[in-house]
Amino acid sequence: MQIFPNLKRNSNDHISKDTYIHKLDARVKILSVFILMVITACIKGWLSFLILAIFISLLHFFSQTSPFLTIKRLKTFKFFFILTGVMHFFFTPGEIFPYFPLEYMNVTYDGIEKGAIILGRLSFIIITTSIFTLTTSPKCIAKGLEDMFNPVKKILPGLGTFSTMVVLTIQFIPILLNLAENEIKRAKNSEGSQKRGLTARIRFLTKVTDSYFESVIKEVDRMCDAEEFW
Amino acid sequence: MAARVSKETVYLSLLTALAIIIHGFEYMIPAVTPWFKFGLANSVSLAVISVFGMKQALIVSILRIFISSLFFGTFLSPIFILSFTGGVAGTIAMGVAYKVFFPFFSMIGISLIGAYVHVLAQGGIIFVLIIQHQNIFLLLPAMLLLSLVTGVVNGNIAIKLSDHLKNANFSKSEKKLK
Repeated sequence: MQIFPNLKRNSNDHISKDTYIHKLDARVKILSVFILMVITACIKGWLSFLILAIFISLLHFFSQTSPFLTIKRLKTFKFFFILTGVMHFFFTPGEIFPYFPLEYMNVTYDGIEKGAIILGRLSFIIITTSIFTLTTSPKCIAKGLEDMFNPVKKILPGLGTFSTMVVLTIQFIPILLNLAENEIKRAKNSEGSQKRGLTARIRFLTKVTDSYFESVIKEVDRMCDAEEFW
Repeated sequence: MAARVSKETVYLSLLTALAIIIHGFEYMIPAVTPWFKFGLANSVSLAVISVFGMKQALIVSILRIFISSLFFGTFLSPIFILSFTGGVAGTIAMGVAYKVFFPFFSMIGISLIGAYVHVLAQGGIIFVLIIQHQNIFLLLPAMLLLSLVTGVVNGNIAIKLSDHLKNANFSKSEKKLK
């Protein structure tokens, strides 16, 4: 069983291309995303949404990223969208929208307007952050954040080793992932893995994690004794 | 001094990697509701609090959330904001509760406190930033009830992990970390 195919590939959805947006400094991109998120959270009228849509289309054009890729990301948030829609459409007081087909549930004009604004904002924020992750590699993001924290290093010295810890963690992940997959393969052949039901699964999980921790600690002690880290 | 810092960096990076992998184990459990997760990675944060301290647990939590968001391409998205708020609030709550209440409360009780604060913090952020409708709080009783189960499970896992960590040679040799 593969727990995390992304972790095995050791990459995210970053697509490497030779565009101006790809070449921009990560700090500029991170700050721009923050500013764009704040602006998106404040917009209300249809004209503002139109201007934002044109701006995001230009971002897609200059970064040569496919809009279908970024719009596909919205599927991950479908539960948020449904919950937001239901909350606003059915539970906002106001003048009732007369054309809703169900008899016992009332949709209001104010609910439709507010729900549409919130859903629009959420969609644009998700698309903006998708463009950011598609055009910036994880290494650049970590380096950019560490550079941004430079002025604060005197107050919080731990931040200086931030990108070192990111790199180290990414290096440890394949080792621990192999141990996890071995442990799960071993446990799958045992009795508890075939049982269905929530409590049986939780008991099985507790057993697997206990033996997994044991194997991780043994492996780390071995690596420490062999001085493989430093 | 340089050797001490580098060893702490290595141990915390290792524990962060462990937290990321443990998060993957959640897929073994069938989902009770959409988007509600067991949060097994918080059990690693609690084990780190008991063995190393709250500052180290916060570093592990923040690093874990950040690296997971890089791998899944959700950095700065609403999911990242929710994870960050819940993770940091839960870890701080567990750290304070451990300092004040342990051993009067067991690790399971402290894990429950962390789980409740995690859910409340995420509920607050969802209300302020994402859904912006007060009826979201109607879901809180159900979420807190589910947190009762996850808090107990995470507490049990944290007890096992902290026992393994206390017996490990690498943590015995680095008592200065606490």
